[in-house]
Amino acid sequence: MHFVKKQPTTEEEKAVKAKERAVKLKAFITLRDRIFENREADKKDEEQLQQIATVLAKNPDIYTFWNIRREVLIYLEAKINKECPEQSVDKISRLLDDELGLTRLCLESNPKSYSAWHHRGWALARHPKPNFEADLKLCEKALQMDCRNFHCWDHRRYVASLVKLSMDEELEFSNRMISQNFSNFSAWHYRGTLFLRKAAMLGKANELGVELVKNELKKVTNAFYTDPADQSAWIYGQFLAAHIEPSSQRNTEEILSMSFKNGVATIVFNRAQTLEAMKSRVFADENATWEPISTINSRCTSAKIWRIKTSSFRLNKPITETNLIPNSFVNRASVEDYFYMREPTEIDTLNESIEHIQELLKEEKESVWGLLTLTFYLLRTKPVKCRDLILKNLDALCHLDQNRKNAYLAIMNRILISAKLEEIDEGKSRFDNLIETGSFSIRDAKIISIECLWPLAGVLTDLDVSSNKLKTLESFSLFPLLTHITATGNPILSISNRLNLPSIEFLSVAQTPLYDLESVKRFLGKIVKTKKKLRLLFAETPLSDQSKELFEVVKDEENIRLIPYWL
Amino acid sequence: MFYDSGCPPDACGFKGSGGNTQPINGYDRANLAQTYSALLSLLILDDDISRVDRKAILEAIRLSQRENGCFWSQGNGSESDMRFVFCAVAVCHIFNDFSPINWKTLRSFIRSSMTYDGGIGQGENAEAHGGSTFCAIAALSLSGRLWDESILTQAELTRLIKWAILKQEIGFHGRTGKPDDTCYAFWIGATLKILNAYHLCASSSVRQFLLSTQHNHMGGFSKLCEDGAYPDMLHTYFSLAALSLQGEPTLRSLHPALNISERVYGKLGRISQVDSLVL
Repeated sequence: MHFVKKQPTTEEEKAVKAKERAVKLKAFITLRDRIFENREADKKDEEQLQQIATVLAKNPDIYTFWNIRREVLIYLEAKINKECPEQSVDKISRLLDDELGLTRLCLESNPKSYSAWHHRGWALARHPKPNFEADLKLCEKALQMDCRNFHCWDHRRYVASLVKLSMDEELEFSNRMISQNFSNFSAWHYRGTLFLRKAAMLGKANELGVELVKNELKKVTNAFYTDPADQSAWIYGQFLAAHIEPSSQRNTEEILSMSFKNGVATIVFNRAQTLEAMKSRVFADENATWEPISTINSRCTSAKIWRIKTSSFRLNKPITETNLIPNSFVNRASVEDYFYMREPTEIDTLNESIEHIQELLKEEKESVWGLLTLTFYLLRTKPVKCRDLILKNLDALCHLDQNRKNAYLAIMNRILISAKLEEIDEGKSRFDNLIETGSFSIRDAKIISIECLWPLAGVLTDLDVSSNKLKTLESFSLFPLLTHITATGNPILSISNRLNLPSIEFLSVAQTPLYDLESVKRFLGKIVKTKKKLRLLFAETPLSDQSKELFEVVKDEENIRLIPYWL
Repeated sequence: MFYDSGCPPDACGFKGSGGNTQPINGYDRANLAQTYSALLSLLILDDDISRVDRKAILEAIRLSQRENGCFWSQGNGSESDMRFVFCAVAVCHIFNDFSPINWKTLRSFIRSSMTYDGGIGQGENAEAHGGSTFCAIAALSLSGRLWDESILTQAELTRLIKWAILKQEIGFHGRTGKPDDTCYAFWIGATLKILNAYHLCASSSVRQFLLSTQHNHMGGFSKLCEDGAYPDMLHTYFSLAALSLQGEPTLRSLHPALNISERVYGKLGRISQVDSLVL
């Protein structure tokens, strides 16, 4: 999308410009009409080429004229081949050299013209004695003027393919571009694509190998020492770190947690499943109800969490060797990976880089990219050992890089929860305790969301998140087995009407700024309809002294107990 | 638009303008982007698109898909990149019929367009770009293939979110290192919205940037905030769309994947009688 900056002018200047424009317009219209007339008359000759060239030199974006020009050229080529085949190579070369000259002229004033670049590529591809070197030089010059011009990068890639430049020659080119200017993002990008292509050719898709990464990281280090504020090298470094070895991501479909009790099966997969897919994995009785659980879309057609009401239940493939109907199951290995609770097998490839960044940070304490990259490397290589440092860095980033504060808080959130899961309490880890009893507690830890606990939705029945920073209860809908929720001391203002808690028996929102009476009435109304029991504790909230209307809603319900004050 | 009778099957659909119902010559043909725009325009204007030759358009889409999975915009040899993947999928979504699309090849095209830094480019080897990233993610969302890992894994989506939020300086820009430009508040903003990650960016800064490009007397929004800048239709639309994503009062809410108001999207649901379109 282009727009033209207009300069403010006086009345006189305006009149002069208007006259100039009128003259130019007349000239253009005359030429344009003659070009179209010639085309109608099927006149394909030098004069036509001349006229078109005059117009295109002024405005290379009129692609219709490039198309007409190509029609003429193709005709002239055929004519030469027919009339003087012995000289055709020379004559056609000269014909097309003119095209290279014309496009060069156009590109000098308008280096981003799609049509001009396209025509140059077209001419080069059919030139009988093409001078590819000249084009490669042209591209390099154009890139020195604007290293981000993707038209030029695309053209150069095209020429490189015609010349069949070797991978090494291309890598050398990218190296040259990078050493001329470290903040040449396009050159780093190109280098990355070349390495990935090379890896794929060797049958090792997405794997760069230790040697290559170590060498490239040296370049990255040079770059970020020279200009720590430029993103290109940092991003390239993170790319290298992510591709040292083949991805150890589990690509298979797995059940992360599940349980079957009192006619309800709750299953959590690592990947969203449609109803059809569920029915192929799980056997339930004819009258079973299948409910996908999602906080994103209440009418979703696929979900990771499913709740099935059925009297009989069986998995079609056993998840443990003998057990087709586990009453309760948690996939420890996968869940531990998800929560960064397992240190990956030792990779020392990044150690040197980590040291260099830490050196840099001593001088440049507020380097956002330094902190971010360091944290990324640590998360990849030592998520458990360096947990405290990672959290400290993320906290610093929240202050230094306010734009992405929420993203950093989200990552910190998951790490804080994982730290808690590992804590030992009375001889066993809280994770083990959760698996055994369905109960988990994380208090006063600055938690902003419990959504990341979703893998454990198949077994979680009791959650205490007192004194944290949750602003809404909405994500609790992801945990259909929750019978007890303690959200005391969180900044909760209302009870979302999208909150769905099918198993709830106790909910505490005490010591919260809960003030939205209507929302609580709605919530209680829903509970009344289900005829279930509930104890709602809302002591020390603005609603404690306004509970009359709430008591009205539940006045005939023996099973519902409202607790507006501490007992 | 071009109707089925007499018109070559891969030229059917809407073109930019002109009233002839049969193509004048080989260059006069429908364009996928115009077909997408025309259908949305009709829906906005309360048409029920029953007079549109849906069979012809779907067939033209089927014939427009290339071997590499991408789509020609206007027949063999025309522009072809991620923009037209979006247009093709969006038109199929409007007609609630994805049968013209070969997902196997489209899958490899989308995956080959993913870059080393986590975003998605216009095609293989191209740099990750806000516009093409939106086109790919919106296409996956509209066809219900975003969350089931059939094309992009959860890890890849997370990397993409990271790429996207790094495009914020004050407003958003489209490629690493480029200056902020108002239209990317939509391309990147809507991508984040579709991925439920909008809350990870600093929305008040985005708003501040957009408002800084508003013209003092004329109104409207420009591409950049600089002296002498003039507003234009495209940047004004996308600035408003981006503000809508943030819940700007007095603006209708926007369906981020189809790029149309929720009000009109609701009408589409009634026309095609689909009761659960996956977000």
